[in-house]
Amino acid sequence: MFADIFKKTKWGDIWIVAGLLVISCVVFLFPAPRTSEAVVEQNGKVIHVLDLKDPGNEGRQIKVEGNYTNLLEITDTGISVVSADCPDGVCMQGVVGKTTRMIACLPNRLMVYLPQEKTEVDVILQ
Amino acid sequence: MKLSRKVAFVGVFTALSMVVSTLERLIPLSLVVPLPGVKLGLANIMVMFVLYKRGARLAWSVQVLRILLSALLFGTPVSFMMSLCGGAAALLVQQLLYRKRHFSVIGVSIAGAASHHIGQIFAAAAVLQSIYVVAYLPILLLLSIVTGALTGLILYTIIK
Repeated sequence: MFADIFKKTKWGDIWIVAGLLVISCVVFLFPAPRTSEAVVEQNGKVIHVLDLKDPGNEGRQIKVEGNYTNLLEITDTGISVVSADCPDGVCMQGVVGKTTRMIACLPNRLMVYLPQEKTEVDVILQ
Repeated sequence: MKLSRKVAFVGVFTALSMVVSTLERLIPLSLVVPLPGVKLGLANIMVMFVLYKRGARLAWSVQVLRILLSALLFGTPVSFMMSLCGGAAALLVQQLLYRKRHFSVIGVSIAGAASHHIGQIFAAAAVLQSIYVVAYLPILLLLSIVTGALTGLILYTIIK
């Protein structure tokens, strides 16, 4: 049933796939060094900057209130949303610093991410 | 085609697309790829079928109705905006490509899946008022090659 599919594939299809691969690989090949600080943003404003490497921060819980309430927790592996009353609960899936670089909770306009380290432009130009 | 037939056609395919997206929720894709926003996009098969068989205007009717009804039934204002941006971007790109002879059904489907993600990411960036979510786009684009090819294959077997 699918045997003749490769005959039907046209040049434009290959260009689309190639273009998508190039766009995504360019970002994967040049991962910027990241800091150990996680930034918590709500409504586009930074509300917390948390040092994940600081042992004093381990186990710390931060409540973020807005349209909904998210409870963030710092563990030895990273920072994650441990409880949330938003409708979908997508934000509770990952751990920033371990499994993912960013958590976003759209209903609460909340974002937790590791900012990229600022590199000197001169270094890139060399 | 008479107006009454158009209405019936759009109605049937809107219903079909909503049924397949409900069925899609039963497939636990998030167990395989634990990323929010990743889905097969089976509803796009129906929209693309209408696009290929009856042209862009009816496809837009199905797409807009589908998104509106899903939002009313299961959605929130945020999810409505996300799917509207994704759906509009996808159909716009598919509409531009589907008559070009250099693109097959599969290519158009992949392009649609990719633009769906691009539209959604920019909607998310608008909601969060932060452009940083764009960092999430590369992995979504990679996955859209797989999901787009899959839905394209299904559409190919239906259409031929």
